[in-house]
Amino acid sequence: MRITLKTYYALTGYGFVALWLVGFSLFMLVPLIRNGIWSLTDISMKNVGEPLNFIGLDNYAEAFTLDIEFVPYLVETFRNLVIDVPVILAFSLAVALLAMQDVPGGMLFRAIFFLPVVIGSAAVIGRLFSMSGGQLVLFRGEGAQHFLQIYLGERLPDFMQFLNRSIFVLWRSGVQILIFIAGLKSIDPALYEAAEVDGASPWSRFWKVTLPMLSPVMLVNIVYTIIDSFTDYFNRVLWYIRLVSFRTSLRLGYPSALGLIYFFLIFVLVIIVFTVVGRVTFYRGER
Amino acid sequence: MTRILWFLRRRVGRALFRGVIILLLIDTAFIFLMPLLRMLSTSVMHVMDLYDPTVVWIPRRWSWENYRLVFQALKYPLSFKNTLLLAGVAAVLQTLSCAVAGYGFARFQFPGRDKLFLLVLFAMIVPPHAIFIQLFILFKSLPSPGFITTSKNWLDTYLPFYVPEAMGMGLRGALFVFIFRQFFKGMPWELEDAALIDGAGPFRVFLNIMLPPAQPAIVVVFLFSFVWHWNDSLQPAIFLSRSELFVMTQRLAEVEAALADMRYRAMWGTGAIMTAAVLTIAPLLVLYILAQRYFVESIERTGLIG
Repeated sequence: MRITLKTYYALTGYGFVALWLVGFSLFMLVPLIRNGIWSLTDISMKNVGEPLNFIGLDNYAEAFTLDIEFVPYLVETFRNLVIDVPVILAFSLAVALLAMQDVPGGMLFRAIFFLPVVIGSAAVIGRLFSMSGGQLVLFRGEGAQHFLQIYLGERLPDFMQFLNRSIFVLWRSGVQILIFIAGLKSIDPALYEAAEVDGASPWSRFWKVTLPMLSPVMLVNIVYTIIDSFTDYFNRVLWYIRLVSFRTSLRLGYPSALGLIYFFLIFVLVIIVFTVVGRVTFYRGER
Repeated sequence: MTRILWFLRRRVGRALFRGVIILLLIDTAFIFLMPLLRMLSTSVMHVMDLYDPTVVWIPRRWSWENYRLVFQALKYPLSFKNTLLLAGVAAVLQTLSCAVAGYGFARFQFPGRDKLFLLVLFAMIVPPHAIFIQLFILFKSLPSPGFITTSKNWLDTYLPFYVPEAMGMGLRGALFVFIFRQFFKGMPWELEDAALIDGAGPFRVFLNIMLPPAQPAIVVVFLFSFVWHWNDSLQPAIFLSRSELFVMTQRLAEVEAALADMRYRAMWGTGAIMTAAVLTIAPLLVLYILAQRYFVESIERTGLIG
């Protein structure tokens, strides 16, 4: 049989992605579907392998009504997200802009800024913040503590928590900085030149050239930050799902439902972000 | 006169601007380094120093006791070997398989390609927690291959970390496929065309022509993959239960659990946990210091955004 060159390339293309597709089906699609089925049953560790006993949407109803922990954790996750995403984005953009400046030792600074990517494992760095001695990180000297105590009084612990959290958040912006730097590098210098010739100040150059040209990268970063926060090591929902799955009860249907609810919320949020942010995103090649 | 003044003002303004930038850089660098420095300094402090408010960064009494104890508690040589084996092999497999898939998505026209690529994006947002029960059941039901005699199924082997990774899945596999696709999309067609005209097959073209220039992307993906596997604490905790297979993060959790109630009684636990954290990431730090220059350059040339 003779095939055209086009068909040949198409087949080769399938060949290249085939392995990934098999992996995706085996280790994600099928587990996800089975998870969906299990979430409708009362299966537990004891009767795995026996015929499934369907109980409708009871697990889902339980998550939102009987379970007193799940919904507060969800709310907390979303609240953190609303605070974290703008902070992380603004901070990482600022750091990326700083790192692009041509100053002595620029290489060293860039190396330091990428440090969180490499060792910023929440699992390890997080030890610092999850500990009772969390405030150790900031003010070890008793003097500073007393000083703050005078000003903040009873609010001191809140303030400490806020400080710890903000530093922790900044530590989570490694990948975002990296993506912003890549984006900044890809902006055509001719655009800046044209703006400068037209008499634009550095300030308006940032708002009129840098930011619009960076908007596709911004979209990538927003989505990445959302996903990252949702799968964060300290995310309480995830801890809770893990706890329900392997410790407190032998039930498997219920944690399956929790996992799916959680996934569904992420999915919806990402779609919303794509449509809303995608609308204001500017692609240079497009008309 | 006014011109000279204007010129001076401009010069001074520039210098001031530069000064502020450098100051900001140093400031930010300090934010990034502080937790690390804090960890290091606490780990070498004597307990007495932890109680002493006049000791801030530099210990008055140096103590290596923490390191001696924690080195033993972490079973360091064994867990180092295990983690290296797990993260190293997984990262190599994942880098290769994701490069292949990314190349397929970037360079070939085939029906349904863009819809299939949506699956990659989809895979990126599925949290591991939505499927880990199913994966546990799956790996429990798969018989282990003949050369592994210590376990009847895939649990308590490193296969759950190798096989999905070899197929471009596993820990953030979809993200790596995405990175490679963006990279290959940005590469010029001329080299490929020339090689194809010379009669090289598509796989040969990929291996000999496309991979060598893809080095920056390979470095970045490999490093990410290695580091994230090294630091992952979720999957090992689920798939590995035999203590001689434990990886670093599991030992770290063990040490932490053992010290949990001690912390209320003494500051001693703080130093010990810091030491454990330092020892866990020390190999990554060494790796980063060695690869740092190359890594920073690679990131700038990856063109993550196609």
